[in-house]
Amino acid sequence: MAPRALVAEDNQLNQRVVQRLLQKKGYDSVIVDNGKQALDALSKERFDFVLMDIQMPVMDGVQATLAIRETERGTAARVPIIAVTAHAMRSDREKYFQAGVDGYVSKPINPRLLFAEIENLTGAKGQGAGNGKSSEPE
Amino acid sequence: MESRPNPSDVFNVEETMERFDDDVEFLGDVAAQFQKDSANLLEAIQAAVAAGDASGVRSAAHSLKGAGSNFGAAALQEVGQQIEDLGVAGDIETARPLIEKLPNLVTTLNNALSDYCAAQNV
Repeated sequence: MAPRALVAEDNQLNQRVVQRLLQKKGYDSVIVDNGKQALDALSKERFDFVLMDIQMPVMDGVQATLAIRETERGTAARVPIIAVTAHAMRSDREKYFQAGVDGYVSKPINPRLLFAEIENLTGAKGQGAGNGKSSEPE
Repeated sequence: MESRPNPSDVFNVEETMERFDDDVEFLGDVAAQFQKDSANLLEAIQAAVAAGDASGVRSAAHSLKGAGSNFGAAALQEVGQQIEDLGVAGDIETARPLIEKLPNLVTTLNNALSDYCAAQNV
């Protein structure tokens, strides 16, 4: 089964770019517009990792990460979360890691760095070239 | 026909093609989406200016800058960032002349993307 990614990103163009990059590498993905929707998705489905934009409306990536780690408290679960953000200073990145993210990729996305971080944190690899299509919802 | 700037003077071709996995069809698809999104965002910025809504200006400028960053569109990103910062500061008046530059910057980028894709597809 292809590894599944949850992508929380409010910019529609970035959504499209990330989704297509993941497809091409053989990952399945679900895209949501903000941190609140990411929390909802995680409460219903299992994902292998989360790509978490930091600056989002409704609930930002730091708040969402804190909330996700809170729901995992006392369980064995810990979904790898990769923060995705533009122009973060070192102090910002420290804040993300303190909130509970496991990795960091800067925007705009460099696919080589993105997939290196994903493979590093999940041990998962996509399924080669993939078929260029995401799986249909059941 | 007016001569258009070389695409590589408008966006970062090398970085962009790396992002899009050297896949011109992928780039073309995202460029088409950018054309629609940028038109909507320009309208949103104008509407926010008309309403005196600095937060709306900030948000739409941020989105436009972020969209442009997928292509390494330096000029658009820089002006977008300045407008975003002025939106944060609540200073729509200072942002006005910058906002007036946006339609041209967006058109130039759209043309450059379309010229580049057309040149690859011969």
